[in-house]
Amino acid sequence: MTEARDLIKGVLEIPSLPMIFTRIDEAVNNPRSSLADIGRIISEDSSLTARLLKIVNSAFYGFPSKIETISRAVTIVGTQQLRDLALATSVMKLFQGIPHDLINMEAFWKHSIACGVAARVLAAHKREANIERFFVGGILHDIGRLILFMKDPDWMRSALGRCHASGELLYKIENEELGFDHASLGRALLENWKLPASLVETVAYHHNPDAATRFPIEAADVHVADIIAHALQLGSSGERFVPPLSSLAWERAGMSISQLPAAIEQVEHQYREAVEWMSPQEPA
Amino acid sequence: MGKVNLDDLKPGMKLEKDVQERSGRVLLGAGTEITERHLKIFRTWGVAEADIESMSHEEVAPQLAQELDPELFRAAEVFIDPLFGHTDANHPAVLELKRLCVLRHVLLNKLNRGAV
Repeated sequence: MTEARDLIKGVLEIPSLPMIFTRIDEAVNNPRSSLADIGRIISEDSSLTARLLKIVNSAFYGFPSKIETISRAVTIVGTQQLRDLALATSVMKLFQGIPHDLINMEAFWKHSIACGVAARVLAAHKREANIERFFVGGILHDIGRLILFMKDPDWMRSALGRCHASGELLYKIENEELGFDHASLGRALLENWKLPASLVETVAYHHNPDAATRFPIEAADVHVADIIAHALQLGSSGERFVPPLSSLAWERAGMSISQLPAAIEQVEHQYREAVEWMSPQEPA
Repeated sequence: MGKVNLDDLKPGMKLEKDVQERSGRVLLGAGTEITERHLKIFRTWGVAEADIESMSHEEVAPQLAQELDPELFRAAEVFIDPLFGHTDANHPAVLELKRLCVLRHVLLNKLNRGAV
């Protein structure tokens, strides 16, 4: 039986994160770098600059006046937030060459966006600091499944067939037949990319949030967000059913039942917005 | 008495507690009778719910549902039920999410029919 880690290791086709992201990340984490330094790095990539300006000028933020430059965005939105948004938009361009009959990439990213947006809405309701890290956690939560689609399309095809015939949950079949699921694969990939532990844990425990020890709130939020995305049937990750809800995670997500209708409305609204500006078909 | 969702608030209901926007500013004081204009203000400020005198979520929520064709609801449930087959049907959050999905489905169908 292959280990999740082995599936990642020694695999040349697994894309690496774009250099620009690594440089932004280093600058954000370096206490010596100034806001201007970070703005300059982002500005070197014109397509990233255009995407980020689109996002910060969207209803996601709803600033009263238009933000025309990255240097202004850095000041108003914040460096960590821009770094997280940069990660969210770059990662969608990375995965290519997955058989079209197996998965519709647009539908896959739509599901990820819906989950990201829902996680962001939950975090905003709790007034978490930097809600974009919840957004990017949602964007990345199913990324392990892309590796499965890419590395073992034949197995995926049979697993999807089994799901269809038996009505089982796909991630349970992954665990049963492979000994790991897409969540542990996602963890291995994110560790390989050296992304922060909070993101790694969010992705690793999105189906098992009660087991998250260091970042239980993040894991719980994305767990609940995934369920909302499935319930609203926005996009598709290959999973056909709404995954089971952990009641502890629901508690930790911190939303009351009566807030849910307004939150869902917010999710649908932000989703429509985000799908537009996250579209991977944009000219690079 | 109890919390009522924004969508289920109706003009004429009486506030039990102040309605505040997210930063804590009071939009409307306790004891006020809600009007259409207030509902518009609530929507603009992202108010999700209000405490209403002697009414609960359970009492109020079915009102909207009753205004729609029950046949449409049954059709939507046939579609939505299997989707939730792996969830705990007794969890209040799951119940509410499912109710919203059914409602959303009914409204979408109605919209689509209206467009034809």
